[in-house]
Amino acid sequence: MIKSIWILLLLTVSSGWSTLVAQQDNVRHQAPVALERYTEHLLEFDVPGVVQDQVLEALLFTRPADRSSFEQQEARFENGRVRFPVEISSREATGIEYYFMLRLTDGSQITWPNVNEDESPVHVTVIDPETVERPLADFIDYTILSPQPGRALGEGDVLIAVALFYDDEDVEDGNFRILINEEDVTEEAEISPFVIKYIPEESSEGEKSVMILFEQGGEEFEVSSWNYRFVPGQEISFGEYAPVQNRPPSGSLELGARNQEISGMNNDALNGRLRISGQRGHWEYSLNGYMTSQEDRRLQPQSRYSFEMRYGPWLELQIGDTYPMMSDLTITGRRVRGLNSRVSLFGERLEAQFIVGDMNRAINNIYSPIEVEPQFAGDQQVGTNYTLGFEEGGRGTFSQKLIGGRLAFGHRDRFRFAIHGFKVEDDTTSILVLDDFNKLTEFQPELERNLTLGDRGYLTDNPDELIIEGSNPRPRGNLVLGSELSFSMDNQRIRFKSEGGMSLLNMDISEGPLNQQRAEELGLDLDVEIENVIDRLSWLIIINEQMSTLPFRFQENETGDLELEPFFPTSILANDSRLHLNYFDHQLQMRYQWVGPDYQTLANSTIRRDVSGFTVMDRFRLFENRIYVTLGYEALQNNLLGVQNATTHTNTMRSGISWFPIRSELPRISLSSSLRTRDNQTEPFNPWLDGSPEQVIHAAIRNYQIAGEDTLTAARPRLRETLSLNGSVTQNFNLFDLSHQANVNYGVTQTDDRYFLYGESESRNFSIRLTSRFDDLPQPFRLRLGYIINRSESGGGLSDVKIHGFDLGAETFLMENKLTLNGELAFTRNRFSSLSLVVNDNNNPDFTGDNYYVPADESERSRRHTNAFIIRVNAQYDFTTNHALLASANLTNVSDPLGNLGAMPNDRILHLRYIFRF
Amino acid sequence: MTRIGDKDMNRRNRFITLFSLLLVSLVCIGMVLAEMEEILEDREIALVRRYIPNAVITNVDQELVEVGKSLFSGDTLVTDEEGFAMILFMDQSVTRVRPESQLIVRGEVNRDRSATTRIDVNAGEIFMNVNRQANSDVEVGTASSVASVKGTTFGARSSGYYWVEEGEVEVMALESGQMVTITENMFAQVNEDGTEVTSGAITEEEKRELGSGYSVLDTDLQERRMQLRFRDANGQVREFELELYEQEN
Repeated sequence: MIKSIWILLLLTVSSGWSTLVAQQDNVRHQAPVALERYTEHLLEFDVPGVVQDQVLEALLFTRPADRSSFEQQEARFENGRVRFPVEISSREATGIEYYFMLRLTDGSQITWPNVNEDESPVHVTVIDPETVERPLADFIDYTILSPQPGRALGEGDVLIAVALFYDDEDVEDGNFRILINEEDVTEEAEISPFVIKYIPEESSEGEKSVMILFEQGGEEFEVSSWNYRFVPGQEISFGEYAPVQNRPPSGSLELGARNQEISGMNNDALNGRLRISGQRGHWEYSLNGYMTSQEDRRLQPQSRYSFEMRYGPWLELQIGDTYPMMSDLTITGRRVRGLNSRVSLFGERLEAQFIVGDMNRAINNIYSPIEVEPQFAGDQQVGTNYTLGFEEGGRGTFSQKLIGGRLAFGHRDRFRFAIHGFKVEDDTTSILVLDDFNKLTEFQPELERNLTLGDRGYLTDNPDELIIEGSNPRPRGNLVLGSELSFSMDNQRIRFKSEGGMSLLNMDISEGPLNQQRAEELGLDLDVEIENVIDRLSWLIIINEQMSTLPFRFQENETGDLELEPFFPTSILANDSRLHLNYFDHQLQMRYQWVGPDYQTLANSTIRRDVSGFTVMDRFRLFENRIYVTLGYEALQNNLLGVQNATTHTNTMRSGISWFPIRSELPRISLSSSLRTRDNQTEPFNPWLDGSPEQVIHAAIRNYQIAGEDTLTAARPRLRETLSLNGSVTQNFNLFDLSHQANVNYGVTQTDDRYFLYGESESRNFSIRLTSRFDDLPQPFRLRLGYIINRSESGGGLSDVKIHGFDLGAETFLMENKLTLNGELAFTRNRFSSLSLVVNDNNNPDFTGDNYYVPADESERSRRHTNAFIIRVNAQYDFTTNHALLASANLTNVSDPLGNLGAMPNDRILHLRYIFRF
Repeated sequence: MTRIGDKDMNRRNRFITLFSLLLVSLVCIGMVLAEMEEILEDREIALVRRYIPNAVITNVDQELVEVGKSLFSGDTLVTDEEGFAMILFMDQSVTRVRPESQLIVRGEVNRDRSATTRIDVNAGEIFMNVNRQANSDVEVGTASSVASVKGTTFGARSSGYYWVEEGEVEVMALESGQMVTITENMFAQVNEDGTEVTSGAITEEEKRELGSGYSVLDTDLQERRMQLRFRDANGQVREFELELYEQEN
């Protein structure tokens, strides 16, 4: 079952708002009140101002609330909208956290939440499927006649029948009821005094729960409850002695064409998608392809292809665009174009995984001709700068290769130990890098066209005088090694998992491994034995002076020279240990993490570094699972190596209570709060502002500390408290013989900054959505209505954003459900006002120590008003079960009443798709 | 002084009184019995679980069989030359009925879940699986024989032929009272007169042949689990545990 989570607006506020307004790309998303475990939900994000060909990737990063690393999931961005299916399969997860990211072709990205998305992701409570415990009707015996508990029934074979046995006087004035999946079907059932029979007219595939209730005197007793499974279609039943089947190839072919005009620019595209899968004996195979005319050699691959083969449970091969998963601290779904393979033996007690491929493909640098710029001191020319720049979007990327593997011993549900590792390295030969004039002359002499003969002569004699604008891309290398230990006891009530890792990252491997000659240039003395070790390790990781952390210490030798001595830097280590206890309706989770500041991996950018601390969270259920309570405490700190001026302690207290009543006429209510304190235990001190008013002291740019008799620069003091309160109510109700669902959300986030005058912020948002179903009409019809208001102030009130949004959507099914139509009309009104901070030099322009911030003059206040109308229409016509035609149209109109943004043409998109399933 | 006429009068009055009481009592007993009969008749003793056309149930009226149809004591179920039926009793015992069969079901079901069932096979053949956990007495009768069974899987023909796949069956020739007990992989044959019973062993092949044909009614699905990995629209791999269902025979 898919529960579509309809989301209204929670629009963004940030310093990048001007970009948002200009691109009409406010993200519209409404987080669900809760997610039910084992049920697939759709998380939907609308970014109406962004069009498909602007998008490189649409990614959703999710993780169980107790994990440190996000798993990324990619989905198709279409028509300004992207939907991610999310299913909570973890038994112990009490919540999930997620953030959304849209990577655009211009290098920018849009996220939701739009600030600190990875540190403050959306948190949603996970609830278990509803269960009610009613008193048992022990005065009524029963025999389940059909179907037997746990059994599966095929189409046309479903009979639910129960025989009842009781004394008449026990059941006077009572009634029997029968519920299927909590839906009362008593009226359709045949109920005699001693037998209850029910034959469902139609049923969807899946697990079904049957419950027989006896009502007497206003009280409900449970007579019997059990589950069975419905499997429609006889074609899924197999022969008696043929567990391994041949499955002929099946799949789908999709062809699409898009016409769009955005900001007056026409950009049409064609794309095709193919999926084929089948089985022959133990061999299963699938082929996937996506080809688009938007493929561009200046971008990472837009078209995707993959082939997968599997031989029983023992062997798995994925070739092409693969998304391997290894562990939380290594790879969690990053795309690799190559091979991902897995071998499993001895009933999954021995597993081996091997991955090899490219994470990035090579994109060549496109340089612009050398710019000659004379340098003057007064009127006197003192030299000339020769700068090699890049064309717009001309900066390239090295081809980046990954090779790695994992070996696991033991069964995953009992005891397992695994070791894993991978190497990521840029191919230094994959693109041409012009880093001096000689190379330029040799490979691209046409870039010299702005040079005179004199310039050429000078640069020939001094090839290193060529300045590279913004520096060339640098090739990097990374080695990650790790291990994982997990076990469970007492029927999985106690589970423990610990993962450790080590990551070595080299930020520039172009010069190769460190050798004695290079060390000498750096003024170091490199022992020949160490040089040999470095050389021998170079197949694994190139070690040189560009390492993010040098595995050397500088030691002064007997002659007074600096000598390199190898040592093991703990900053490259990471550990994440978790213990789950599940007793007495409590799920207690304890976690300790320690991730060094240099634990960086090129294969996973979502790991938070330089952090250590513990998290304790308890989630318990009350009143027969009607109320869920979550209490949590987290204490984290950074500056693990003590090399920064101050250590920031972040303490977070979380609480949440959710009421999920059984009766559908009662509302679902969820309330949550969190209080986060960030304190770097640094006092504000500026001796040059002594005696100044409070608003000056608390706006100081620099902070100082007294060390002995010296006054030294200190870290900026930080003591911030962020309080978040969120509440949501969902109510189902019937009105005018129609069923409706209303959802109301309200949230407020306040940040108080004790030390910085302009550090306070406050955001309030309110949204309401009404969904009505007109199922009794000849043509089923659904209507959606939503409204949002968002008000955000930041910078101590200097920045103010107000957003009002309204949307109306409808969906209907015509022509015996062959034609599905849905449309949407949305309107948003955005008001943005901002005043920047400027530096006041305290009437002392020669000294910066007493500078402080003041708001700019009110006349410089930036104001933008925009109104946006969006009309979106989708239609799908199923000719047969095999053939379908889909069409969608999107029109966006943005007006600017103040005229700051100039005239903006309408954006329109028309998209046609044909799908053939076979 | 007592007068004869008075004595007669008294005697007559007593008689009338007693008669009246007896009459009232009989009416009451009759009403109670009728009510009890009604209660007994209202209690289903079996359901039609599956069938293959055509089969009919007759009692006062004749009705076509349908899934879930209740069978009450005294009902007759008839299958034509292509009809099969599977009957599910209240103690979860199952009777499968071959084509061209006629059987009458009788019995009662008690508050304590015990049941008494009698199936008269007037024509054709049945194959029965009696729930061994149930506290039930089951008898199968033909024109010349009656068989008592308990916790047994066995077949019976109207000709008086019985065979056992599991458990034991006690077969009695109605006329002579001769009894034999047959167990797994044995048969018993009562002659037409009901005077003689012969018994012996059956081979596995014979047993399989005797039981063949009933499988058309067995469409129970057996669950098997399989882990599948596939790629979504964006090529990302997702792992699912797939449940497959095989037809159980």
